[in-house]
Amino acid sequence: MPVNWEPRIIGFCCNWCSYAGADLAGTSRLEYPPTVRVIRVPCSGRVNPQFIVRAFQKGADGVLVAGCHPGDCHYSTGNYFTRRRLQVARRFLEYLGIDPRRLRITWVSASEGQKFADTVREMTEEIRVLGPNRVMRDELWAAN
Amino acid sequence: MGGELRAQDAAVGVGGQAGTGAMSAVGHELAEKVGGLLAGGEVRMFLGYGAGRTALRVRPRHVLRPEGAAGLVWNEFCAPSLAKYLLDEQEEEGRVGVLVKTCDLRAMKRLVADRRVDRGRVLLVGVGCAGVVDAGKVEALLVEPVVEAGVQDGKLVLQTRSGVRELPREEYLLERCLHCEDPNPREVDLLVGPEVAPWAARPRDYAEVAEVTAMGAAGRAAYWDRQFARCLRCFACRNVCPACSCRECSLEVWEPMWLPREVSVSEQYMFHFTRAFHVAGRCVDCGECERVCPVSIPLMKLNRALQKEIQELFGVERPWEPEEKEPLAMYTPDDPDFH
Ligand code: SF4
Ligand code: SF4
Repeated sequence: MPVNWEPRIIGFCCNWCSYAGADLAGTSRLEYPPTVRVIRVPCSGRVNPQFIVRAFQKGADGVLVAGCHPGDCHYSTGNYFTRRRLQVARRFLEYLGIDPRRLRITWVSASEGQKFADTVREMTEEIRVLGPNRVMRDELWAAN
Repeated sequence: MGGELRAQDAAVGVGGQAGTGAMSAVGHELAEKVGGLLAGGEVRMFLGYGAGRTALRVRPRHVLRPEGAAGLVWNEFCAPSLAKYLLDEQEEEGRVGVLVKTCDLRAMKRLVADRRVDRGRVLLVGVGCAGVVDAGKVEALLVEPVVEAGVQDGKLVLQTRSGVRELPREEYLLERCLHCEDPNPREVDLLVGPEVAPWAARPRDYAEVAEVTAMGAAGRAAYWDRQFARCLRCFACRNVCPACSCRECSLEVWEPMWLPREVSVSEQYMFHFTRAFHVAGRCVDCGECERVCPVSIPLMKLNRALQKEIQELFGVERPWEPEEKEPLAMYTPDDPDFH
């Protein structure tokens, strides 16, 4: 494992719940590792599974997708579609060789700052044990 | 033109039916019926098979005039699905006739369900099929080209320059034929040839998927690295696929460029993930993608893994069946959750 290596996690957060949840974690001064780079998306349904592949290609060690709890979607049904699609995508990525601990999909509401912080902490610890991701990674990023 | 037709006619005898009689009789019936359809103006074109480069291969034949029908062949090497050619025929007026086996019919239904082919503008001519030969498998075995080929008493009889070779036919059939549940196409507009007796279809047990799964995460990554590294990005797998019919393909658009033109193993993952995932829940399990791949990438191991997941997760019993409501374009509130 490279010296000074820290896991890099790309977090796709839905604008209405999880992004607000992440924000709350920050404003409540909850402590969690600075390993996650949050990308705000209008809905978890916006997360094309190709985004996840791209993240792994470009150097992510883990990917987190967070959306509103089922039933609470701002667009009523977006996350139901997400759930179907990403269940399949997640298993398929696993089949291609991605360790399932590197891809986490979870529901975080705007009031669940604690859950967001805990999720990032747990993921970071798991990935720290796994080491840097190599599967699908672009050679440009393979050095670190 | 006349000379070419005669050559094609001769191929009816050579291309597999020599000695068996039954299939060449179907060939003659087909030619006669297609000639009639074209002469009567019921179709403006007919898509069938003509003799190919070797005795093991056929090629798609577009017949425009009644006289051309004589060049059609039907034999145990008629593996290619013709369904996808219909995409090129949607702009012109008039009906197009097409020869379909049961497996091709599923491909047709897929294109119709995806609103890419108008069912009213195709005339389906069904033919009972006792299984088609995997030419690639035979070619891998022989050094010399096959000059004549046919089936006799369950044996594949191949004539090469240096002699005759016999192979057990069943072992050289396409994999999809072993799973075929009904060799006689239903819901077609016209049938040629006799009913074919069904055989015990091998159940889909996803054994090939389980084999990959058993390799563990690191083993799987190494396995797919090796497989994908061979990919030429020729797109033959995509082009033949009846479930892959978007007018604008995400693998080809420049803005945003999902698939850079550079060929690295990393980008091969993007390509193969996208190809397989975009047909998830719509793949009809025809195996055409794998059949046409020039470097034998086991694409069905990707498609079948997705079928298995969809079956297990959402209780879709026959995920290869073309449905109006495809499993990834719908949901139920009590779908399984992540954990
Ligand atoms: S992915 Fe392959 S098996 Fe599935 S429909 Fe397309 S060509 Fe047929
Ligand atoms: S047919 Fe084979 S080589 Fe060609 S793009 Fe598909 S997988 Fe790659």
